[in-house]
Amino acid sequence: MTVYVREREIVVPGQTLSDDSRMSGLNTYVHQGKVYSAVAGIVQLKHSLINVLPAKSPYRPSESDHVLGIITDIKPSHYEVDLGWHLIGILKALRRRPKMRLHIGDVIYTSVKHSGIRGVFLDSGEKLVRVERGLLIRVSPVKIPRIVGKKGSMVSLLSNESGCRLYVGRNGLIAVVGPSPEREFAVASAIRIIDEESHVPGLTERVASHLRKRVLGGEIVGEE
Amino acid sequence: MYRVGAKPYPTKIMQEKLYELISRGERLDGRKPHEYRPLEIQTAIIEKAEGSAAVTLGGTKIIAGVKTSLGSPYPDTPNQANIVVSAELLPLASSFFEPGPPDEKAIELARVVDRCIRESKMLDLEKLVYIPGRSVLVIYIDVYVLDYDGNYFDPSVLAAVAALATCKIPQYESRNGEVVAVPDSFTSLPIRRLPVSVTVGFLRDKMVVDPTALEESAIDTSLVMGWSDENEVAAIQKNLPGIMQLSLINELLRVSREKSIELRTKMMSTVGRIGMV
Amino acid sequence: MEKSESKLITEGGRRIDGRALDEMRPLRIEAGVLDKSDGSAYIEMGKTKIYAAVYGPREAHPRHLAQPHKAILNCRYHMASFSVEQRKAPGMTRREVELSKVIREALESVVLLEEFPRSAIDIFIEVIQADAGTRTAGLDAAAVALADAGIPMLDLCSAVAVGKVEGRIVLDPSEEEDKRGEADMPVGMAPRLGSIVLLQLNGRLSSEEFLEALELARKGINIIYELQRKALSKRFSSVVSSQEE
Repeated sequence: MTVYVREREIVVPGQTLSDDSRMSGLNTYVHQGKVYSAVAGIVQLKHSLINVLPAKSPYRPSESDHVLGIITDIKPSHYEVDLGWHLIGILKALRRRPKMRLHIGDVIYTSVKHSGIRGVFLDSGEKLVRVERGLLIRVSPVKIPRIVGKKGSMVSLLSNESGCRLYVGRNGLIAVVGPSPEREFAVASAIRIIDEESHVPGLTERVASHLRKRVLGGEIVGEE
Repeated sequence: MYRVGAKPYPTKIMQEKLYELISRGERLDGRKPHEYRPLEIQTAIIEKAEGSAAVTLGGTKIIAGVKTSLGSPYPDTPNQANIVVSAELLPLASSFFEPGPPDEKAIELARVVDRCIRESKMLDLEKLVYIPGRSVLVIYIDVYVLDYDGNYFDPSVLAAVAALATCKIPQYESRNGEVVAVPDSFTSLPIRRLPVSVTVGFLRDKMVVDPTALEESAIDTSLVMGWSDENEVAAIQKNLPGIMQLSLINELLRVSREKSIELRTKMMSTVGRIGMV
Repeated sequence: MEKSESKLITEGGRRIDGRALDEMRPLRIEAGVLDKSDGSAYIEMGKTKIYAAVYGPREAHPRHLAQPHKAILNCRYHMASFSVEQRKAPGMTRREVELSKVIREALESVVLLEEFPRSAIDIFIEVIQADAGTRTAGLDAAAVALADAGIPMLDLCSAVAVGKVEGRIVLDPSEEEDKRGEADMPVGMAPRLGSIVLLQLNGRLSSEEFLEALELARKGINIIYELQRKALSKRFSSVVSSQEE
């Protein structure tokens, strides 16, 4: 069993990773028993699998993923929700939420009930939230786990230090709802730091101190 | 527009957010309402073109090229060279630009750039006539929007003008009824002045200069003003549906003129103080 | 006045621009150069300058063209009016339509279309200056743009043209060599797979010349592939790591 690459090595599509097909992880493919990279990205060796992590990637819906989407059409029995790329989520008529009225252009937060050949079906029950106001931010879906953090530690930090509520969608959309635009911007710039510097050690501390500086006095201290 | 999918529609929460900000005199990218994004102008980037320029204004990038040839003048202007401006909103630039022949927005862009150049009398077209009534220079200006984050008018005018200002054409002479190019001899186009345009977005009683794509989705309307020099307006185009308030005209004129001087100064630092006596 | 036709290849085996027969023109590839697209790249080969951008996967337009089990690939190869010596009128010429097709077909061999059913992946190649080798350079840039967008592929596509000039097989012909030479053969490969994904010939070659040309193309393709890799790796020097959850 040979692994041809090291942890954190940068690989390109078609590059040979291993000759053990059982090691095929995220963004890899198997051909004649060998494992190859399918994307340009960084090698990650985890639980005896080789994953390749690209900088950007289209979102692939998975059951129970929380997603943020935009209502784009109203059909007789369902709403169409734009989740990004080519993905249109189906939100069945809100029988369990009769008081909720959704309009085109509304931003909603819910989870993926099922995703398959027939389409992406979204949960229209209690979990469904309409985001009334706030700042909408878009990042690549590959960054979302870092923004959420281990057991939600990073997103809690963002929320606690800023006094804002965050709706984080696995599809790369984030809504930040806060008491003032300054605080919302503080979170937006903190997210940009996570996006661009996730590899630099001490990220959590940097994000925390950045937020504290920006939020103190409730004024935008200025772009850094 | 928050382009999440293919359809260009604004999300409600972002429209609200932008309005909230603009009415406080703030903008999403930290700019003040009358501030332009960082501007970069490069010339002579396409060797095969007689003149060329690439202009980057924030996230919007335009490339313009000038090609020339000899041709017949238009019947109603027998003693003037011809200018032909075309523009394309390349599908590379935005998910909202579809491939295909120029649509109404691309044609509008071309015609506004044309008016800025023509009406300002930027070029002394009479000096480019080689055999009166028969042989003149035909100047093709092709503008391409390569990357789009709002306001393609101003950088397009800047790119077209910078390309013309740094253009090198053959030296032509007429001999025995024929026009020939003097070998290894080049000259510049005869330029009188450098027009620029200033685009302003309106949201009720507020104005924002150089709107981004997101701001364009939230504003009521926008207006492009072409300035041939510090005191003369050469072209105006209200280019989005929606209304602008009459009471804003004075402020518009003042801000637009001020910004036009800023842009012209920036352009001259790249192409030289052409047309300034 | 007679136009003196100088020799394209000197006695010493040098070409008019000083290159050896198997030498490429100065080459540069960059990834992630445009802001709005999902993936992008820029390439310069000699005086040839090309941008490529990828949007997708996104909704197919018109919807009825979407396939239930895979993505469709659209490709537009287009030249700016000022990209050539004699201004090209706006709009798609027959040549651009043909090149769009062969480039698309090359990329279809490597993109994992089944990952994104019912969608379209749109590839736009814009030539802003043309000096021979535009379809192969366009394919090189498009492959990098697709990888930049994170779209899964079996392999990159790397391509270069070879030509026959005054009886000799040369790598990466310039415009002059292309115009006055006896043959021009663009070759595109999926280098890791060792498959040919694009192959055309304009002109005449004997069977031996054809094989020699293909060998020379492979040499050029290896050089291109390394530059494509470098361009993509650079994107990661500031990005990285973890998906720590």
